[in-house]
Amino acid sequence: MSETQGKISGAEIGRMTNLASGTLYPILMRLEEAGWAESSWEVGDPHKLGRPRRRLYRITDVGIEKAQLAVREITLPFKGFAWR
Amino acid sequence: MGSSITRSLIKLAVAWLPRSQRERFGEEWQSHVDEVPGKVGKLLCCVGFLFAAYNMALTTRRDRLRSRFERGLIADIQFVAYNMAQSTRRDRLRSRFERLIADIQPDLETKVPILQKKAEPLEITMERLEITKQLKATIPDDVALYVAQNIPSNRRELALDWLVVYSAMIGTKITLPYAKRMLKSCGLAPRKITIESIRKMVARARMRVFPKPGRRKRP
Repeated sequence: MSETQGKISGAEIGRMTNLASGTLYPILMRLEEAGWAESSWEVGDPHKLGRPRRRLYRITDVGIEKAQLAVREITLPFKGFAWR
Repeated sequence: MGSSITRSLIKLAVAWLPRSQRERFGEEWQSHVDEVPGKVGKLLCCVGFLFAAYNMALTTRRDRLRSRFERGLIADIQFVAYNMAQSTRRDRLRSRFERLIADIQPDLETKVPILQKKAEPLEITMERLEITKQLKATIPDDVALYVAQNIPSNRRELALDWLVVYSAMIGTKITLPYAKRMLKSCGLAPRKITIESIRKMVARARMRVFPKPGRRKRP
């Protein structure tokens, strides 16, 4: 639906991962700042689309590598989901 | 009216962010809310944005430079992966029993195997990233009996989820003392209700509703 060339909107990610908006966006922001994910605006004029533009996210090559590492490591001691 | 409330909430949330990010998240969150069905869903989503903005504002630049930043990101990904697997498992169970929903209260002997069956392996699958992993955990009879006897039905599945996930993540076997300690730390352990505890709770609630009056002036 909102998927264009492997890019996906925040709302769609929320539905897929079952994460609430309050949890999802800080994670996306951190991943983006670390360069593990990148985002860009949906192509199109909001006036013509008749709705605000979506921000589409895409995982980078570094992100894929790190995600694979993270899931491989998942049996290690796992403390504190949230941090700042 | 609904949309004006959501717009105000987004505006309020965005105001917490640094100036450079306000415009971006204002538009992004507005488009997110448009995709959420139902007024209550939209409202809850906007409340979530308030929490998100607060959290994002707290993550300062200094934090991002710290060495533990990467560890935190790894934990974030693990959390997302676990959450996805958990929701898939719930959906699967729901769809399996969708047509069989009935108000049946099973006896204790039935509850124990149901709980053990529910603790089936947790599968993490991220097709896009070609990642699959299975987390296994078995619930011993005595732990299943403890959960069935002591945890009320509305919290039983949550208790089970916590036990399975913690044991799978930490890589330890689930034993009865471990389960008791773990459920206590999650606030899921059974609480004893006594007359004294009821009296204390009511007194605390009354204090909140009717705070102590100040000194009255004498006429």
